[in-house]
Amino acid sequence: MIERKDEIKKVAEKILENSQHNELEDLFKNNFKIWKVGEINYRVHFATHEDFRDLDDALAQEYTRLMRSPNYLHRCDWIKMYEEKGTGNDKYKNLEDLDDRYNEISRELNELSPKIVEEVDDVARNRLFEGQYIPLVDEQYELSQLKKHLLRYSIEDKLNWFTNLYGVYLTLDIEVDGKFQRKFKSFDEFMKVENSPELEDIILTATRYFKTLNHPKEL
Amino acid sequence: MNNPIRTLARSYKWQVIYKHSKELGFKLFDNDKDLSNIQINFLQWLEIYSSLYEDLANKEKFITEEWLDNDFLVDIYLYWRRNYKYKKENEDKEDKPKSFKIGGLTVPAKMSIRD
Repeated sequence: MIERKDEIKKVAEKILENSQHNELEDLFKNNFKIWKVGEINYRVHFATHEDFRDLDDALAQEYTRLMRSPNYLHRCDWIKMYEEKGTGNDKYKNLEDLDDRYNEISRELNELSPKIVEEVDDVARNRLFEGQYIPLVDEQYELSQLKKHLLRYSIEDKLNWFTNLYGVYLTLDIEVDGKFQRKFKSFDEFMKVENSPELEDIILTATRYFKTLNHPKEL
Repeated sequence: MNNPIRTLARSYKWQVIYKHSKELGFKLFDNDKDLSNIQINFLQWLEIYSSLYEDLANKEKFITEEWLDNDFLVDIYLYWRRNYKYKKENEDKEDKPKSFKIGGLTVPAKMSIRD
């Protein structure tokens, strides 16, 4: 029974993997992705020069708004604040400790790499890889997540978040009479979709395509 | 979990397309200019995996097909190749006595004509 379940899980994973690959191939072959919701075609296109110009203007406005707000600080100011007040994390009292450990892990990984490559005994190599290398990679990933979390209210992080949001607004199209046009007439209209689960779903899908086109390294 | 872009880049299908696109000059993407980040990233991985398959074909000691299926092991191999293998090869080249011939005489490379 367990074997059968495992088999089904493997097949499901394979199907998911194949659909992910087809989606990706579509994206990088054409630089856009069209998908259907009901009878309507939606599209996310690669941002044009005009889109980038609009985004730049919007970013300048958002930056000014964040700078005027007392709630947001630059990353460097947050780092100073954590130095004074601590991060609330028992292991890493401030971000410098966290960065030091991150860099130390990078050094350890670099030292391990030639040992793993040049190890001729499979068991010994696996011990180095699974027993030492992978736990360090996992720890480094956790550190980067923790740092991201601690700096989530920084002006820089808020601007990154805004870039994705505004980018989706600019590049999400709807097909009308055989032609694609921008789905939302204004950014304000785009921001008011909270009451429509269907539109929220479309925006979530569009965000995934937008991020894949523009930030593939995060995949 | 492996990165799906890398999985596609190392696939037989895309490696064949990549190899023949260079030889026969056909396009990988629909657009000729304004490559998106995903296209640039994909091209980089196509080239990297193409070089890794060459290493495999040349029977490089430490690379196996099994390694190519694991992103972490590929990263480890790439780091080693860049920092140890190439470095060692360069050192070996530097260690070898270099010489050149003038009119039937073999002259060490470091010796100048005046010597």
